[in-house]
Amino acid sequence: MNERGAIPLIIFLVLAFVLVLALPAIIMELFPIVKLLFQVMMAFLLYAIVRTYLGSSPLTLIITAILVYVLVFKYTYITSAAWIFQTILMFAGFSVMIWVLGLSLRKH
Amino acid sequence: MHRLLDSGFGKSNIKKKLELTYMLAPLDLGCFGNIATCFTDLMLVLKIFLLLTIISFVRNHIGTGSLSWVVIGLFAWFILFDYWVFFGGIFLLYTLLAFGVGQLIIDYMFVSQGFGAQPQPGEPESPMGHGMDVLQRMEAAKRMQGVLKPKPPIMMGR
Repeated sequence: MNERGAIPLIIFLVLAFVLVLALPAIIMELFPIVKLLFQVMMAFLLYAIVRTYLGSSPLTLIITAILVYVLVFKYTYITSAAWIFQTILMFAGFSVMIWVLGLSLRKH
Repeated sequence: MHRLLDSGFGKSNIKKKLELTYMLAPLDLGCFGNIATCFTDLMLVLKIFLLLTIISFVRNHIGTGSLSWVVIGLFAWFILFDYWVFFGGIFLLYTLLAFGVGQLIIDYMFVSQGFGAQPQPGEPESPMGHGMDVLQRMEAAKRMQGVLKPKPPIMMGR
């Protein structure tokens, strides 16, 4: 693989990834209601994840409470970036980004 | 080996962790918090998810009896505390690969193939450069076998 054009491709990809991952934080700063909606949604999502592992028990609520405090309230922006990363990855969105950027940067 | 692993974040290194925390205290990232506390908190979250994985794994295999809690305790002590530096990295890699990060690397490798240098006039071309190249080779082979009609000559001067 060579590599004259691959280095600008990496730079463009990193910039595109950073822009996409920073998008939820930007939206939450612009519209505070989105932050509240995201926090509620993440709390339900975390409870569902923990209940899948442990079932409905008091331990589920305790672990969910710890996770909700750390992930939803303390590090909202990092969690939102991780969530959007996982969601886009699930729908192969990053593959599309790589293909589009690669094709548009290729010299014919 | 044990000493090497324990030198990371073992029980005897709480003082070192505190020193690291104080050293990184000026690195405040505003809304993202502090790097050291952020690292510690995210490691706690990773440990909780690994604990959930251990609980689910043991319960699926042994059931929900008292023996399962003993086994969970042993696994948790061994994985989350004794050899955390080793198993934490593996679990993080496992999680990322389960999310499909590997496909990004594969896609990048495929796309970056097109950025190779063009062959010079004297140099041989790549045996399989792209789909059009393969199609032209297949058509040429069929013409040689007589399956396809030969191409008409290009009329010059029109």
